[in-house]
Amino acid sequence: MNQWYLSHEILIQGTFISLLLALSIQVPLRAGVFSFAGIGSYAIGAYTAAILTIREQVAPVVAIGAGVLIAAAAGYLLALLVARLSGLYLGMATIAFSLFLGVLATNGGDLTGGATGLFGALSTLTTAHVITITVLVLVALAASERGSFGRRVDAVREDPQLAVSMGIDVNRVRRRVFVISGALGACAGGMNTLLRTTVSPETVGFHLVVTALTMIIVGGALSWAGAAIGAVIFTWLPSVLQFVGEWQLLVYGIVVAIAAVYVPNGLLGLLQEGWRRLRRRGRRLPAGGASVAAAPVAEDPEEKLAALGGPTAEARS
Amino acid sequence: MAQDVLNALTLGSLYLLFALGMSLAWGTIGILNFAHGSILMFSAFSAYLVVREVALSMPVLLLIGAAVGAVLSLLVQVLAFEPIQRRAKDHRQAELQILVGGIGIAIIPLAIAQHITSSVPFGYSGGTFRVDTYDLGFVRISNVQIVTLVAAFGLAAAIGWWLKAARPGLALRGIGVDPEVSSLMGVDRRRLALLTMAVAGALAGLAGVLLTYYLGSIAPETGDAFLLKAFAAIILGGVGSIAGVVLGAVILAGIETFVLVTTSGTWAPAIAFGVIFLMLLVRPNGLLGRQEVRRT
Amino acid sequence: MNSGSRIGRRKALGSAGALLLAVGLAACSSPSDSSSGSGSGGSGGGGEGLPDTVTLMAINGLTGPVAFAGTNAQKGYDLAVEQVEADGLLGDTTIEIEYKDSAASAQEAASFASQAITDQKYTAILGPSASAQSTAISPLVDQAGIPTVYVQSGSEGVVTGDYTFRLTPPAASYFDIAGDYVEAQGVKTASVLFNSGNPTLVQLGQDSVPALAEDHGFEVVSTAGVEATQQDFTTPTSQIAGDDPDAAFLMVQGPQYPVAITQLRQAGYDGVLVGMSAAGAGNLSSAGEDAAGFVWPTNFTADQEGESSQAFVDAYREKYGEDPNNYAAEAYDAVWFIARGLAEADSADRTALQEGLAAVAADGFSGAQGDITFDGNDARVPGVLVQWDGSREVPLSTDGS
Repeated sequence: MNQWYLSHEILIQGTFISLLLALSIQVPLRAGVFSFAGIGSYAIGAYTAAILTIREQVAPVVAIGAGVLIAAAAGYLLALLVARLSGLYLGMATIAFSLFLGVLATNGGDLTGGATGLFGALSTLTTAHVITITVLVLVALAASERGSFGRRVDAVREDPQLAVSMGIDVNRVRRRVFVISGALGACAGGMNTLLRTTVSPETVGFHLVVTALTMIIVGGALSWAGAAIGAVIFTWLPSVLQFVGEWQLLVYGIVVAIAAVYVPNGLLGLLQEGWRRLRRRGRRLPAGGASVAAAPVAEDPEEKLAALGGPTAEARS
Repeated sequence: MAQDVLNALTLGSLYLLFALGMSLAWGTIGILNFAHGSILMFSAFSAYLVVREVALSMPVLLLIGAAVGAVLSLLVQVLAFEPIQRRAKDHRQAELQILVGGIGIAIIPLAIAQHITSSVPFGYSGGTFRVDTYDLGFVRISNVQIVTLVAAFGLAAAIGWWLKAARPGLALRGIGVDPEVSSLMGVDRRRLALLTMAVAGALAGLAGVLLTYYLGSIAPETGDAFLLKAFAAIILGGVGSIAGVVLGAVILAGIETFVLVTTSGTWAPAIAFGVIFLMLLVRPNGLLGRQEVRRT
Repeated sequence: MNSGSRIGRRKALGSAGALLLAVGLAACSSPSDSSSGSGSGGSGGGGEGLPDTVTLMAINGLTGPVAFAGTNAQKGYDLAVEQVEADGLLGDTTIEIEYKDSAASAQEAASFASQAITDQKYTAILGPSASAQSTAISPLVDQAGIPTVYVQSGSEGVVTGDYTFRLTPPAASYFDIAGDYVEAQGVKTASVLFNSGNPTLVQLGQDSVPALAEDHGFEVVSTAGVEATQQDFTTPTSQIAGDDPDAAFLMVQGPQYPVAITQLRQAGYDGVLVGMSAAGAGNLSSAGEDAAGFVWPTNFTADQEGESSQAFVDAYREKYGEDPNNYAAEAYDAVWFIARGLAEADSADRTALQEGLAAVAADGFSGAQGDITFDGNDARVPGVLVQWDGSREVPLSTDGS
């Protein structure tokens, strides 16, 4: 077990970091805001952490924290700028913003290391820290999906006009999700840089948009648990696909395409559907449901899925 | 100076060729196809596989490219985008799924072409067409450059006319403005969507073959590199407006050429991103887009 | 067991090696000769002997955009493993390589490296080609103490500690061989076009060419950068044609070469064209005659002189029925390097192997790339100037004959 843990530590770290990155897209999406600014925030967090660690030798918490603050502030300003946009247009504006940061890094001279990037950002950040931070974030997000704030966010997504007439300040909710998205993205970027000790422009490019988006869509877009499922699958899929050898990329593309087309609510949606059926049948067939609820980050599957069923399933029906 | 203008126009015509099909599908039936670049590349690649065996002329290769592009595009529509639109609970959900589905589908032809070519560039040196360059004193222009320019602006004009004057084009524009009402008016949306995707795919195929002729060779990754540029051109000109795409492509190419000529060029990649971002902030409907056509 | 006989053999080889060393390492030619030459020095004792099988993990992009480098490296690795076995350098010990496909992902590469670190089965790692993957691996392997031998990975931050070695010499280290050529061509002015997204190409374009200009008496009249994924070179090439310098240095990525060269010729430029090693490995085929006369310095070409290089080329042609390219040659040298280190250490222990590799590196050896020396843990080769004759690359002496 210990052996297994050590040899897969990078993938375990990668799972949690990808999860945070995916959440930085998923949180705005839950409020109906199609923003990829989280990818740009990832770049901000990654470079801030690397620069502070290499030049000032600050503690990881400071290096990552600074990036989170900068990205959150950038998120707020961005939200003001793009207030008029929605849908695909907003998505494209934020992709442009994120990719522009990559060009900025390439042209940043000594500060960002140009095309080579920065390396040697050695720190004391450990896997335990990463997991702790991610779990705290998840608890906070799970809480935000319930209660009055969760309902307000759902209202903003489902019907902005109605939300306004109910007295919800839609623009404020939007600004908030931009700030949270920025903080999450920067946190992921900072932690990844300190764990890998290096960052370069090509590691903060368009592929992150694809990765984060596929995780959310395949996992399920409307809850943190969907992002978690997606993060686990797409972090571990390449190692699982080693056996298909040279056709790995092809299989990856097919998996993404099929999931996007035929599993519209993501795997989380499938699980919830299955769970509901099982519960309906459960009186007749006791104790049959444990295997279905094998969600990768499950604590108590029954409670968790029931909780998730709340905001998403009702809104959809 | 004259040479720079000609170069900018040529680059603009390459962007235009790429963006035309994308813009057509997005502006009318609301499908932003991220597999467009992949279809373009694979059409050019299919033509290469043929010309490697038989020495063919340019028109034949263009036909092959257009046919492959149309078939691929139809396949994508039938196998992926139609089921998505049928099942999605609302428009926004469908949009997102089409985006991700397109990204996934784009990987498939790319992986196949990468595997066959080992990412080595391919070209049509096996064909019968030969490049000639003419020195006119104030500019140098090649025969393939002329073909590219004529094809890009000619196709744009033809598509523009088709949308304005032909019956299917009119119906398409109707869908672009209000899908529900046009359905009530007896427009068969499914058939029209298939037609549009076939035309968009054929345009991608033509563009791919022309691009390969113009650049001499392309690599499997070439299609993706053009995607964001085409996107910038469409946003700049305005979604749903063919004249807008023409304008957007030429302006984007003009700015890029200007930056390349006057600076050391390391900031050139930022131009497309900057154009997308600023344009969306200042005028989200683009230079020539109209309010009612805007789809969100 | 065979260990007694092997030690005896090693001693005999050792004395033979001492003789050879007296004659000079340059005299070493075939891999087996030079290995006995460098694997000597009487340090054979101390190791606990080699196991029956030494397992290496090769992490490389076998799919995706860098697959070309990865799959060719694989061929080079396999050939070297066969040869080491046939050569008897390691006695009855065989080398086994397990291939892991990191595609284009630094995280995947780092993950495989950590698997290799924790699984004591692996003695060493054959590192990936892509710099972004290698820089993610280096801190891990240096800290954990597992010898890692890279190919390609031209960026800074790859060879960082005692345990990281690189068998591909940086392109800038042998770039000066282009200097004599351009001087012999009477070049007085030059333009530079470089890919601004790739560290190696940026370094060549912004540092190496200006340095070359200073040493060989020509002037750089213009320098222009293009995008990492630039497709159309109409504008930069007509700029160069307009300036009309005596030579143009093109520092771009492999697939960009045929386009840049073709468009430069179409723009009416007919001066001297110089590139870098990425132009090799078949990338110019689609440009054909348009690229004839294009010259670039490289670390390896199939027709280069030197017995050790030709021995490799012959064996490669026999095994695969095609000419080897630089990716295969570097990989071949990497495995031979590890084999020599193992022989030197006489142990599959990671620390012992590191010491063995350091000793081999200190002496240098002759391989597919010719006479390989080391600057620290980083390989250096004399390099060879090659020219595209319209259908294939041929070696060129530096005065252009």
